[in-house]
Amino acid sequence: VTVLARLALRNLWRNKRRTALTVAASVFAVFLTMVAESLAAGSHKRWIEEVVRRYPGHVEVMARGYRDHRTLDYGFEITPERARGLEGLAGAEGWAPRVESWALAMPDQEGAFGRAAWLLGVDPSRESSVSRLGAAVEGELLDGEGGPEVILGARLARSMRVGAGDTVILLSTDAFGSQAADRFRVSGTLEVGAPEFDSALVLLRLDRIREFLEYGEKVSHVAVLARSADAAEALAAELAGLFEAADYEVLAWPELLPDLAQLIEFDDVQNRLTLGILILVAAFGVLNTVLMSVFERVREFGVLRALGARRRMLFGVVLLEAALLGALGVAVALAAAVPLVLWLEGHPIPLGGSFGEMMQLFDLEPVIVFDLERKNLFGTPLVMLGVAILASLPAALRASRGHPVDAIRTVAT
Amino acid sequence: MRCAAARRRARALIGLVGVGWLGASSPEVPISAEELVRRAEDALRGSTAEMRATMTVTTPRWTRSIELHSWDDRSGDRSFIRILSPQKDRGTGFLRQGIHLWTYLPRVERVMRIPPSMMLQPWMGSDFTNDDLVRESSLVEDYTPRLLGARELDGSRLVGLELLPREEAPVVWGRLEVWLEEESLAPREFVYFEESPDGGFGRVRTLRFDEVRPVQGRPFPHFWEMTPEDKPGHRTAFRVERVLFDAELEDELFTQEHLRRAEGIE
Repeated sequence: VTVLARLALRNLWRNKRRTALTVAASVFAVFLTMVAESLAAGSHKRWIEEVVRRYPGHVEVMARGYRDHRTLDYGFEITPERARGLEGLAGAEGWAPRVESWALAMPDQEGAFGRAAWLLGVDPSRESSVSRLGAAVEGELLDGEGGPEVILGARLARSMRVGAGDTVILLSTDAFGSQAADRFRVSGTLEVGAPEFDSALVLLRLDRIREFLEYGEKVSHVAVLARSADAAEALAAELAGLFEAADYEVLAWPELLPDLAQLIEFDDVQNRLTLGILILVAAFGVLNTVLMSVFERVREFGVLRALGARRRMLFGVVLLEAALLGALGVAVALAAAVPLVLWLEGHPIPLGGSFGEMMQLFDLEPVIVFDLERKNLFGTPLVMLGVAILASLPAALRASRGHPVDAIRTVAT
Repeated sequence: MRCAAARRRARALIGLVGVGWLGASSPEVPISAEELVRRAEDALRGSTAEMRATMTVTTPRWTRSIELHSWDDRSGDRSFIRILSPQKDRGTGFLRQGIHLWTYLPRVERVMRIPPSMMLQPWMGSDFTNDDLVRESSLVEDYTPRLLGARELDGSRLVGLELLPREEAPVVWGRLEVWLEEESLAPREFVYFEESPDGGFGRVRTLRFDEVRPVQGRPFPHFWEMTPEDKPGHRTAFRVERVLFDAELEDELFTQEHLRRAEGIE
């Protein structure tokens, strides 16, 4: 084995410039891949965090059927036992019960138009442990004791020409399918930046919406926030143990936010494609180098064979050369990329210009974030090594074949 | 088309004679299918009807009863309903004039017109629709009847009619079956069909009548039950507690002012 290694190393040393160029190609490929993957992972996590905390949470628990029908018929009660279970979740940062329905909202004047509104009842103290809805509220939160109160989406409020202190009428259908109608004092408005909230949301306190819709102690769903997006799946599994599958559905964020999940998947595929091509190019560099060195050494291999070296050994020498080339590239790339990305993890790059503005439009913080994931840290180098070895297979085969006598007679070019 | 209707009518008459049930119910003049429908409607509604009833809605998850007082002026094509209980809905009113429907919501003291788009929504959470309040005023006007045949139900003999909508009639149903007691001509079952994409008819819901007792000389079913086909476990029962037919109803009843006057109702 040591002979093998010595042979391989000596060969690499023989043409230092060629070796250096080949190594540089793999350094370049691995470095770029690692940085790009960290950038993608960081941005994706950021997107998920932002959107998930805006309202839905990482995981939602709902009664079977609610997902398709979204009506009050599919509510459920949180038994004290389940509440304790939710409290004791290992992977959760917080949980919040919610009641959702639809209504016609109108200002309190004769002949006023009704506007379609999304009724949402929350427990303010619990809600703040899951979503940032409360942070978007301008005016009082829903803790006043001055009768039924609502917080309106800012655009909904503007279109109705009402503001804090005014009264609105809500018409809806209660849990028994009968009319629900009442007056509510507007205690504030809310601006999230997303139209589905700002121009439709009517936020009520949980007990008020239950009273309004005769909903008893029921909820439409429970939102749970995981400690991080990565932990969402584990949290969903934990919740599935608490809410049996026959009656409940536990949905993690990719199912709650299919658009976002698809966007991320699309971005990932695009990234992999580009980076795959990069690695492939580097691999061809390795192939070229190794193949050239094999052609140069036909005589040498012939002599080795004549001295009793086995075909397998020659095959091994060439593969080892390729592996060493790859490893060298990977090592240099790691040495450059890992510290850089780790530093960038702590120092997000602020974005300006039109792209930054676009991100703000989507209510995302305009910064570039990096995150070095384990699968990136170990995966990318392994892929590079594997591809380098695979690429040198033809050269290795070439070296191990052929007859020693023919080989020795070959004039080296 | 007029021709076809006439032919259908003639066929109905022939059918009647053919079935030969007329001898049993005694009138000397043969009754046409149209006349049967008219009588069924008259039995249920009279020219005017004032009614106290309890509607019980049952679903797999809950049951709820609503007490109501209604006035129906069939000749004037208008009606009025006031909800008496439960407390939360007390005072809620519905006023119909022709095909227009308004509701009054006492909690917000507001009269709302129910728009055409909401006509097929459930009424008060029941298996009746808003449209049911507005329509069915004129089975005879909107449908062409044809005799179907006879069958037994709880020991009494029923005679069935098939009603197909007249062309241009503003109706929801593609086909109706009306089953009357042969003896008394009291309605026992209405079956509602809609046209299915394959050209046939699919049963949508069934309204059954029971507890037929005479009121003012007419056989009147005191218990009605609607069962929709597409919602298993759902049904709406209507129990009539008191009914008075053919009384003079004041115009004042069918006004928005009356709709808004929700105090002291009974």
